[in-house]
Amino acid sequence: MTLSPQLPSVDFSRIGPAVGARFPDVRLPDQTGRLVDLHTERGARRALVVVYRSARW
Amino acid sequence: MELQDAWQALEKRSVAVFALSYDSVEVLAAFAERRGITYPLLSDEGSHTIRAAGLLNEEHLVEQHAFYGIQTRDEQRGVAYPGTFVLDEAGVVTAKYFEQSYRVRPTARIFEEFATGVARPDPSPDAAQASRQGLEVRAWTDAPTYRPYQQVRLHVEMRLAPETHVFASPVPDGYTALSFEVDPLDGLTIGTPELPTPQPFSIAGLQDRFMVYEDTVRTTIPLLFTSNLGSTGITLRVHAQICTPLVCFPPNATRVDVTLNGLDLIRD
Repeated sequence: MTLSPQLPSVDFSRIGPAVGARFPDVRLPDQTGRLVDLHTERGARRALVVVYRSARW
Repeated sequence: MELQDAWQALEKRSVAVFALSYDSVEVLAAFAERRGITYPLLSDEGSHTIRAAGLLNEEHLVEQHAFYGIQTRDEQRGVAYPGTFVLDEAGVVTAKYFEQSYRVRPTARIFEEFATGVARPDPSPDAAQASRQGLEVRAWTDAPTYRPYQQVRLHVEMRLAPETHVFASPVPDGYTALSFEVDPLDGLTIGTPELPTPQPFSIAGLQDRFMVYEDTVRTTIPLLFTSNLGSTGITLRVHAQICTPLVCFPPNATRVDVTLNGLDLIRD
């Protein structure tokens, strides 16, 4: 008997920064090679941070 | 990416947008060029930030791939769990959003709502409509197109004529409760709509108290296509028994058809 694979159930509440916590400092180059400090660039604005798998696959 | 479509609206509302992946600057440069992306695509080559932020998918990647019949390649190690974080003015996370299936992608509209906190959209002017016995049903989706594994929301607004009501579940014996049903299709996963809270209702002289809906009822039915079916008709049936204070009509279904155009899954 073969077990068909199952989609693992992930507890996402513990994945990444928690609700209520400050988003960590992130300093990374963008697509133009410019170094971006997320919180500096954000200034006093709200922000949407979209984490995705890859631009390649 | 869908995000570019939402970007202008977000920018107007003073919401900064960042995307983060483990791709190299070169890969991101080509991607941004190809898709016309103007917001920063942050490059976490080596996945140090992804790891430090607790976003590294080490545990579940192979299992998730196996579910879809995919072999995990070496260069895919270091990938993050895809998710969306909403930050307030102080940089504090006010909401985060993940899907069990990494294939499920939010639409531009959902990104916008996340960041702006505006919940349910108003009916679009070209919403499909049907009416019967003074009941009007309008149905529309966030966009006229869908892609496989993109979240598609079918919004429904039902308006009842003044002095009429429909029953909510559980119903008195012999009556029919309001329900929303989408006809099944191969390749379409249909979610359960969340109905608003009904109102108590009693008839003078009768002891029984019922739960009913009056005026306007709005709901959203989550839909997910697992493949591109091309141009597709979605059939919504609103089952309801309309009553006035004096009489209940026989139960009936109001049918509304919404057509959606299928697009291919974006793989890059």
